[in-house]
Amino acid sequence: MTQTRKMLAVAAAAALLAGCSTLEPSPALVSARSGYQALNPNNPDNAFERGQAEAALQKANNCLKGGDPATCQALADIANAKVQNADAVARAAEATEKTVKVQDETISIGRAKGMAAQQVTAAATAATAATEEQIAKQKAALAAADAERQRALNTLKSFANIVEDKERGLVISIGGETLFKTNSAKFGPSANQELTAVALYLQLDPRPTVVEGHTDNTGKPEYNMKLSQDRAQNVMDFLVGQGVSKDRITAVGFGETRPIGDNKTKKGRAINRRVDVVMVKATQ
Amino acid sequence: MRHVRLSLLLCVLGCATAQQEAPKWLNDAQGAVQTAQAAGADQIPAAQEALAKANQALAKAKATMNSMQGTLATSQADLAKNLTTEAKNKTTLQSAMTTLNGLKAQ
Repeated sequence: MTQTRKMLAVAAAAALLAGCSTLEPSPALVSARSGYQALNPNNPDNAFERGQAEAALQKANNCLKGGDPATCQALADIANAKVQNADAVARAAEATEKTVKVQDETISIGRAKGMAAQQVTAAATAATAATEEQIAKQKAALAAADAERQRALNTLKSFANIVEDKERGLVISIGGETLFKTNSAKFGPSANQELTAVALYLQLDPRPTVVEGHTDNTGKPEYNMKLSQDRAQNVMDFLVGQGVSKDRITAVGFGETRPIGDNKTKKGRAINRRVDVVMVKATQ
Repeated sequence: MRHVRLSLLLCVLGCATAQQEAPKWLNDAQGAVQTAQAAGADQIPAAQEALAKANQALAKAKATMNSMQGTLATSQADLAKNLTTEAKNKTTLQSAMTTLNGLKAQ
C-alpha cells in the first residue's frame, strides 16, 4: 500500500514537472522567428499581414512555456505560414510597383522615339490599368480590415461599454464584477471569453494600449490601489498571452482616484469598479 | 411496430445532426482554400506546396473538428493565394521589361 502511494506520488511529481517544462522551439518556429526578423517593419504594403504574423508568432512563443506539444507545433506552423504570407504580399506589391515604373519608362522612350500616338496611348493605358488595379487592391484590403475590426468591436459591445474619448482615445470599459472574483485579482468565470474578444480586437487595431484598473471607494485607498494594479497587470498578461505584443501595452492601477460614477450610490460604485482598456489616441 | 418507431427516431436524430451548421472557422478555411484554387494556386509551382498543406490541414480539421487545424488550413491557403499573385505579378513585370528592352534596342 505504502509502495503504491510512493509510486503515485512519483507519477504525480513527474506529471507536474512535465506540465511545467519549457519546450524547445520546433524548426517551423525557428523559421518563423528568423523570417519575421527579416521583414521590413516599415513596409506599408504588408502592414496588415505583418500584424497577423506578429500575433501568431507571439502565441507560438508563449505556447513553449508549458503548452501541449501538438498545440505548440500547430501554432508554430500557423506562425510560419503567416510570416511567409507577409513576405509574399510584400514581394507581390514590389513586382507591381516595378511594373508600373517599367511601363512609365516605356511610354517616355516611346514618345522620345516618335512612336505613333496610338502605340503610346496603348502603353499608357496598360500602365494606368496596373496602377488602378494596385490602388483598388489596397482599397479592398483596407475595407476588409475595417469590416473585420467592426465585427470584433460589435462583439465587445455585447459586454463592454465602449466610448471614443476625444482626449484618451478608444476606451473599452469592462465591469470589474464580470472579470474578477469579489475583492480579488483572480479571474472570474466570464473573464476568459471577454478578454479573448478584447485580445482579438487589439490585434486588429495596432494603437498603443494602456490597461487601467479602477475601484470604488470602499475599503482603504492603499488596498484599492494594490488591487487595481494587480487586476490591470493580470489583464495585460492575459492579453499578451493571446498574442498582443508586450511592446505596445502597459498596465496601471488608479485605485479609487478616477471615479466615473457616484460613490454614494450602489449603482455608482458598481460603475467605478472597472477595467478600462484604452487604445491611446495618436498625437497629431 | 417498436422497431419502426426506433428507426424513425434514429432517422430524425440523424437528419438533425446532418443539418447542423458547420462552425465559422471551418467555413472560413473552406472558403480560403477555394479562393486559392480559384486564383490558380494549383497551376503555380511556388504555391502548390502551400495549397497541398492547406488541403491536408482542412481534411484533418474536418475529421477531428479541431479549430486549430482549420486556422492552419486558412493560413496555408492565404499563403498559396499570395504566392500565386506574386508569381503572376512577376510574369507581368517580365513581360513589361521585355517590351521596354525591345523598344530600347530599336
